Amino acid sequence: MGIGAILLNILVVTQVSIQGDLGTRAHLRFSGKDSTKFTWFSTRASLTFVPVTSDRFETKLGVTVKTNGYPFLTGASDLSDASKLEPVSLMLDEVFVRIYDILPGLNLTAGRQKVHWGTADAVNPTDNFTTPDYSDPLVWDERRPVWMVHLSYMPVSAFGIELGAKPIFEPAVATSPEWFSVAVLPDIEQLRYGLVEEFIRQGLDSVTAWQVANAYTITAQEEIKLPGRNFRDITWGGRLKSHLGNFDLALSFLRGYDFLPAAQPVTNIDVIGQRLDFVLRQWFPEKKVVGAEIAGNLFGVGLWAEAAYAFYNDTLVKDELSVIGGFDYSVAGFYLNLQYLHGDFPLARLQKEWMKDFILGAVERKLFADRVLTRLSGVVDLKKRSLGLVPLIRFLPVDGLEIDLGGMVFNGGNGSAFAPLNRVDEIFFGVRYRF
Amino acid sequence: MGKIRRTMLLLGGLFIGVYAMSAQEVLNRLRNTTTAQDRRVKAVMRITDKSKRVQERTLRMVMKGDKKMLVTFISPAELRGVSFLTTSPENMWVYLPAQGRVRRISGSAADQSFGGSDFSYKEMASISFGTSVAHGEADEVELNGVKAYLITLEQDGEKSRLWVEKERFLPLRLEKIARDGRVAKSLVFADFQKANEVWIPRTVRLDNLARGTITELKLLDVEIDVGIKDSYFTEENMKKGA
Repeated sequence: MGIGAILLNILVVTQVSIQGDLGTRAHLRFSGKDSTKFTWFSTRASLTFVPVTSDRFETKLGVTVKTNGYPFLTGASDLSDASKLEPVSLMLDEVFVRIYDILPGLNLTAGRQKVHWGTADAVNPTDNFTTPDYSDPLVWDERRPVWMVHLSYMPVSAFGIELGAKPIFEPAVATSPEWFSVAVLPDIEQLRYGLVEEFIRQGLDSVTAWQVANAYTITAQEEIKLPGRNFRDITWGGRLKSHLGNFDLALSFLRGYDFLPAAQPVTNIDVIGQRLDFVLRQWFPEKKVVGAEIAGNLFGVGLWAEAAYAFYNDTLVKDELSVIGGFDYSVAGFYLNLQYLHGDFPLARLQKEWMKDFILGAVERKLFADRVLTRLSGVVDLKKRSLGLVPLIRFLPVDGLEIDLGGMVFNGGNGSAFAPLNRVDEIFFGVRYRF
Repeated sequence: MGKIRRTMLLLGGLFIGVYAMSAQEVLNRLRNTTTAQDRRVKAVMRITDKSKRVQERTLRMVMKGDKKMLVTFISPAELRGVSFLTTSPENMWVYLPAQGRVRRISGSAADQSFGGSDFSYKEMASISFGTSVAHGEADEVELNGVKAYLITLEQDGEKSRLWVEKERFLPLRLEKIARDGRVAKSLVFADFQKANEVWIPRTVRLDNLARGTITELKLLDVEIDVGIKDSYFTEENMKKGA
């Protein structure tokens, strides 16, 4: 009997329910220098095994297989490497055991899980346990589960406390370079050019500066340092939540690390040995985050605000305040959602200059007995006056099936947050099936 | 002696003749008759659109009294784990497993469709009449040959007409009145079953007259007075089974 058959038998005997989520999406660029290029072709299949559990006990085991679609070859020798011909990633999703009502209202979850904090949409500066995944340009709030222990005590709906501890730090998944360039190591010629400029500043003429610079041996390397594996490096935090009238309130504290690295270039020039050594040092700054959240409604309008102040235990990183305020409203069948953010826009976080003040919004309308969803979402960079729009039509012909047709249109001049995306507009087509 | 008895009977008849129950009394009697301490229910919701296509959802509903309710979708797959919690008319939340987040349902969002059905969140929250207020006198009428009280309810400025069976104080029909005075939705309660002295309508059919669609809620397994604690109706329990 094969392993598959044994597994199948175990699943049947233990009455495990299997939930599936299959999806594929392709992006086609229709303007700019890469016009007609497929910039994204991703297929993913997630399976979640949920044993039939009681009111007091729950377990879950989820895995995702993700393929990037296109072969990645560096030479003919790679033709024998299946992982390069069919690049596939296997990822562990939520894998946890949860015990409910250890005492009335006291629940404990241990394992790989998602713990979300925050009241705002898509961008939550108070949400610092689960790892952001910025790889998909259409999903701005994707989070990866993390290994942690989470305790929640909510004896009544009006009061609750959460405590969590995460022993393993997992960095964010970066944005795909197809849309936003990431902070990368400069190449040797860029460094040599910098050296020439330095010599000219020191008084050499340009011909001599180039002759001297050409004689230099130049090296470039990057170093990245992850948080340690010691007890003191654990990410931990707590959150108090309550209601006051029509409003939900929460206060939180977390000690942890930034999910994206800070970078410091270090250049050593040895004039006698005619050598330039460039090192891009990167590390994940340690921080303490104090957060506050509020959500409620006034006169039929849903309102929310979220603020987080990050105190960095790092002389090279400045303390930072992020604030989000937003509202949503439904009228005449339209759903409107708008929020202002003073903080970092997730997809632009690895840009040289992060976007700081922007507006995120969406208008949504369901049609034909909710079989068709139309949505226009967008982001506006207020300081640099650039704009990104994502129109979408989603067709739901039968239960479980979604067919998406949409686009991504960005407008950004020089120096704006969307400058890398200026005139690289795309359409996309996706299919998703859940069972 | 016979004269006295005749006089008493006459007075009694007169008393019964002039005494009319107030709408609120009828509503209170209805709540007493149909509200259990708590109940746990598995239900099926069938949504029929204009072109007679049917969509089906299965739900797990846990209720305490006539105000606290936690509903979780079991199927279809795209709604699995989505749950709705209400503890009072002002306090409603929805849990969306895809976002992993509990969101408060704001004023205008409370009128949005509950899981693609013709019920709004607000209507689901008041399905046991726990948040309704009745006004005026109860009129005695007949509905499909059944003697009934007709009362007017009001909630958040919206008016409804409710027919209550006279004999057992069971809800028969509810009509929600739009601002222009027309009937926007009509709910029919049927298949009553008595358990632990409580009458439960096992079928609630909602006709959305404005959209031409129908949602039928059928209760399959009903457990009554199982000892559900107040601490069950919290955000944390919304994630159960997501």
